[in-house]
Amino acid sequence: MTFLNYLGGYEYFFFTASKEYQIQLDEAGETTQNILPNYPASYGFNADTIRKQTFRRAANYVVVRSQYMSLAQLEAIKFIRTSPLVQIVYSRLNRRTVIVDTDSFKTYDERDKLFSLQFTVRFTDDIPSQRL
Amino acid sequence: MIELVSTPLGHKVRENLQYGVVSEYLTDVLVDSGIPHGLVTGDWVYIQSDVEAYNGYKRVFEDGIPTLFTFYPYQFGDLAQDFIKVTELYFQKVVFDHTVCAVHNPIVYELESTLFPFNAEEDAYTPTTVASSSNENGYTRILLSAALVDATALAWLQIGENIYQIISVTSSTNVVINLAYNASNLLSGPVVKYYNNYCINVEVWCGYQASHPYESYKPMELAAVLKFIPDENNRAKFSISEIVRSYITTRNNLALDTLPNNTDFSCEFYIGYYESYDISDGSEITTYNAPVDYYQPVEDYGLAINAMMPFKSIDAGYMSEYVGTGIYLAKWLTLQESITWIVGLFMDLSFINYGYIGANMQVLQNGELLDEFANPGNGVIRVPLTFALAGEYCIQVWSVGQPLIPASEEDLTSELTAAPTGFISTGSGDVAWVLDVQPNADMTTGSPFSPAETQYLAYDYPFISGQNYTLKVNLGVAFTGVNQNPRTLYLDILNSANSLQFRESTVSPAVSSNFQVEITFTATSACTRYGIKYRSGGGIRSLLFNDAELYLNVAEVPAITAAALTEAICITVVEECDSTIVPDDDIRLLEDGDFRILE
Repeated sequence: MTFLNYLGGYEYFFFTASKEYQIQLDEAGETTQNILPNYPASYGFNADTIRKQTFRRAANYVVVRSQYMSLAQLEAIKFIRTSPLVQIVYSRLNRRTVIVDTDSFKTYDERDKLFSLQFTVRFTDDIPSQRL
Repeated sequence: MIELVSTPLGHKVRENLQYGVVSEYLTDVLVDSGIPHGLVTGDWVYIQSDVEAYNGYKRVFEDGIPTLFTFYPYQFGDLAQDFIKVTELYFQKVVFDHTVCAVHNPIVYELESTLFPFNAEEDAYTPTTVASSSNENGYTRILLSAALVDATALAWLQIGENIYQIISVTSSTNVVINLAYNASNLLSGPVVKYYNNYCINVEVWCGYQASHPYESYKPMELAAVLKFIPDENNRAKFSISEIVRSYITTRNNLALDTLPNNTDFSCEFYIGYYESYDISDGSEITTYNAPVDYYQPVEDYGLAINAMMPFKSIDAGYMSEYVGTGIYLAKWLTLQESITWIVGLFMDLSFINYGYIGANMQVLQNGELLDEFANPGNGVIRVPLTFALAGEYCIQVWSVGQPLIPASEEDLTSELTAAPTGFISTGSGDVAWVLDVQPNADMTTGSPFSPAETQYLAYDYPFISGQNYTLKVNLGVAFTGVNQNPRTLYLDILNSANSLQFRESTVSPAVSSNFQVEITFTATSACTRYGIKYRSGGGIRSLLFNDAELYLNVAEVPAITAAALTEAICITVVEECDSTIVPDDDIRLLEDGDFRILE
């Protein structure tokens, strides 16, 4: 991944620990069918539904975890959670901007000997889905 | 008038902290360093003391004694300041100044008016006062001890703390003002001109200057005009970062035309300033706008970077650690002290180029040439990196050295006298040139015998930006008719649109004769053409250049020794499957700790 640091340069870090891929449903709409026009067929043995889904809006989320890193690395890479521009890099010209979660987080405890970072990113596009 | 108090100026300090004993000298603060401090007037120091007014960056004044100096309270202005009792301070010498600012921090200027609200220009030892007052049809007529600066009807004046308008003028010491007469009116205090509707106007210019290689992508333009009313200290302090920020685009465009210069992330800027106020001609009030003064340090416009510097830093909003000159190398724009990366994957590193312009720079990898950038210009430079093999790589950017280029002279006479190619007749002017072996012009083409000006007899020439040139023209000028004043021959350096870049001129004699014009200049990227133009006051019929000689001298270019521009940054490159993606120095931390199960 890459992110814009506060100096105006870009940081790159390779996250190797296992990640979790999620789909989060943000919103869904339902409506109730009017069964009267086609009654009794709309209510009989061959009827298929009374309520109908009108739309579902969802997005991909990834829980990104880092491998263990040194404190110096953590002190630099932690700013990925405060940067306004974060991207997943597939290649030089193929990148995907993501939105990092806005939860407060602990970077490390003074007693820690091992350091790592975890955060959730949301893809900026919605998963394609029709509206009925 | 308006005077500068302070402008955006960053400093890079030398680490040596020096001690100074403080004493009072007249009204100044005198610092005795005990040992030669090496400072000269105009140097900057960073002061730390128990007195808030002394702390921060101060400009030095020294008077020839190597262990003593004093300092200015502000960047510009007078030396005098009040001594505050403190016995010691510590200072560090500033090794260089720069104008590179983080655009998300304030970019602050401070200006001071000499006219408003306190009219300092009329602040005299013996001020003008009201000698007497009388009733003039219900208004107050005042007789003054001295002439008013502006004794004009409808002009404003200030008596003590009160403002009045002049209704009528008998003389410069005898006027009627718009104050209802009352014998008990108190008209004490100095009498000075009052500048009604006074404001300080500031032009904010943003973009890239003409010499920048990507000036066409972000041309310098007037971004905004700000208006300020000075405070009770006659000063206006303001930030232009909001305006400059609108010229910065935050995006990651690795296909930008201007790469390696990331022009999205930088912008040059400067300001112009002038005062405006109401003036009266006796019957009508209009607004007077003073001529604009422009402030930009010579060849060093302000440079704003898409950055925000952290709180509680000696550099405040300036990017001093990331700007380099001479032996003081620029740091890379990264937060990582040691970088670990993967074989075959793309990454890039950025640095700020400031001042190394008009020349190429080289990217060295472990001392070997990796890439060369052709005159990238000021701004944020992105160095693309992809490593084919695992290993340790140290990246550093260097200037390109070049040997001495001796001075040379080019004879351009044949271009001037070869027709029809070579020179062209172009630009504004009443009369076009006939391009002949002896170029000539019919000066009656416009209005016969009236003042006439030829077009340019121009030639496109590939001047090199930053190079010094001297162009010499020896001409015989023959004309018929009576050549009236003003008679002038111009030798101009132009851009492709015939806009004037540099000019030299000579007054032509009234008779046909030979004379010489010579122009010396340092070319910019806009200089693409030179042209000769003749202007007559009238009466001239024909004009002809004979005995022409044209020489171009190119000044010697001294040898340039290649030098490092940035610090070296080392990258550990490992295979993707390598689980030890932590630099060797930090392995110990992993081995010492309590292991937690992550997955």
